[in-house]
Amino acid sequence: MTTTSPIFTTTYESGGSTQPMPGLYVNPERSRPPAQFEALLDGELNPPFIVDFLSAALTHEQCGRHLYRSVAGRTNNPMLKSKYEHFGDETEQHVLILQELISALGADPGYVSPSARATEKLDHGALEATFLLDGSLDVMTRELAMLDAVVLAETVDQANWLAIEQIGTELPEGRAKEALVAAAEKARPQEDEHIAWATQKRAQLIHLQATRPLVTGMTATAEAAMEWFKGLFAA
Amino acid sequence: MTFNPLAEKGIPVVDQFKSWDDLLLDPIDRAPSDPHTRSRIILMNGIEVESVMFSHQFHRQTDNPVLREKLSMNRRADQLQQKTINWLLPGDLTPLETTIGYEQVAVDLTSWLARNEPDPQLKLALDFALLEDFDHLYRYANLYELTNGRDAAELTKSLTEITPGRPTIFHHTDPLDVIRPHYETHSVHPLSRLHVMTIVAAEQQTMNYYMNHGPEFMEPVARALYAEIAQVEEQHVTHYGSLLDPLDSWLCQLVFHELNETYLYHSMYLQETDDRIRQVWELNRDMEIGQLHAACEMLKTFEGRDPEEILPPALPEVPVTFETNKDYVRSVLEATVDLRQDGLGFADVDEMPADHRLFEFQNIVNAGTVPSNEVIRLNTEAQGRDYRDETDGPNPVIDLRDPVGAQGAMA
Repeated sequence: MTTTSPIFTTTYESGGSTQPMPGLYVNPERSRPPAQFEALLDGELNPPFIVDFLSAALTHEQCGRHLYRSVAGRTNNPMLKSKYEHFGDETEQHVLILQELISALGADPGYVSPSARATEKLDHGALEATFLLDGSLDVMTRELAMLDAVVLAETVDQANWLAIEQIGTELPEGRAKEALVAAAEKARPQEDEHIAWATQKRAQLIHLQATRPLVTGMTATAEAAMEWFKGLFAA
Repeated sequence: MTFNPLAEKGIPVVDQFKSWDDLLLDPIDRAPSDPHTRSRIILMNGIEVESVMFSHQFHRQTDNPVLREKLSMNRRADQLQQKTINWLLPGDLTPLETTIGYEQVAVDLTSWLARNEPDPQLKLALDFALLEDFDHLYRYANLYELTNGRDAAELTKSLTEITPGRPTIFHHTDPLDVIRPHYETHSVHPLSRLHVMTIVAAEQQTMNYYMNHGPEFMEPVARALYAEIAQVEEQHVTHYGSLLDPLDSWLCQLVFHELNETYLYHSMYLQETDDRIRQVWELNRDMEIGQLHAACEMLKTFEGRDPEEILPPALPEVPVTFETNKDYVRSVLEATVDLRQDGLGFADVDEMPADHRLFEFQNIVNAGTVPSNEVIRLNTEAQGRDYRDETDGPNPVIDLRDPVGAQGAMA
């Protein structure tokens, strides 16, 4: 299967399938037990686990795309907005890279593994933390909550791509190895930039508030805080 | 012709509020020419009640002012819809008569959903509870004859047969055995999702109705029967509610609720035989579209997700339809009357070990008088027979052809 456009939410219509578990029933036509994946990668390493892991990595990138769209639309700072949009576009490319990688390995990008479900729940939680409690957070805290979610997402992202590369290096020479290593080589530099930027911006925002009492005064009202924050990070 | 609610304008939520004069319409007749007009009203009331209660739960999980305001707007509109629809039921319909209407809904809605359900396991879940609601109809119809001296078929117009199903005495199940595995949100057929949401709302409304109206009766057997069947409805709400995938976010669930309401109003509109009520369904469908759009906006803003990512491209082609299901019910009854819930699955009662917790539980709750049997005993004593409306021949299960068998005394 060759994928040509990124899918951000897997559904029945887009070919969603999953693994039955004791508490989860799957329509037989969409059921993918682990045994179906055992012959992939020429049987090298642990194909069912690797397929499950790649599904989780794909889900995490899909959730990352949602996260960036959400925070780009809600931040009050133009520079952060621009970065969130830019990283969101790159994350969209990572979705596509993973879809193509999974297809190249003979698996189905529509497969949503148990670990992908756990990943999605985790990512939903991080995203929801950026807006469900808005009414009891001030402007600065809301912005920091969004950056926190980005740092968390990018931390897992970077670790996922590192793991993909490591799996690739463990495989014997062949198309699967090439596909894994090439995918990681494409995505990792951008992921390194994402996490470095997010960590640095988060530290900057915390440092600013921790070391400059003036900031507290400037953000005494919601309107003042909004104005002050809009100008922050301006070149 | 496909109907995509995202492509329809609908009525913006802000334009949905109306005066008290416009809110309430003339009720339908006590015995409408098409009893399924009443069925549609009962169903859509349950759907609106679920929508309101879901919205309240969501509202309590967030203090985001935008979300709270939009939820409050949608919820107020839902509440108006619920009043318009539920108040279509006439005041001269007694709670017991309404109850018979509820059970007719349960039988014909569940049957239709099961017949059209693409997923075999979900179909089995529907078939299982179908036989229990079918039996409840028989019990309440006997109560109706016993206490009112009236014929329940006057209400059902014999579109739904009245005869024993899986006897209620056997419904009582250990709480640990009524939980089912759930579907998976990324791979579930869109129709299955809507089916499950619909039956959860319908059963929940039935449970709530019995919980609240049971104590209003004077007759001890009526009070007891409502209490017993309300406990079974609790099992049904757990049974069906456990089918929903807990992975869906609050906002996704909200959007799915609005989609399902749109689908159901559209379905009611397409099949309604009463022109006046048909207009009600059309108006409410357009209101739901407005509410769906509002929910989709929230999804986009806060989850960064386009509604098209999670919604099917159009409403299902086939509308949810109230029609007679006699052959279907008979076939399910004949094939699965002895089925019981066992852990996360089902088992034939004859294959369950004697020390299964099912029997221990039944020994506790059925230790004394069993109201669902008592009502049959009393009515049989009064009339010289139990009440049945078997239009298509005797009960397909031989053991259920007499009132003694209907009380669980299987051969």
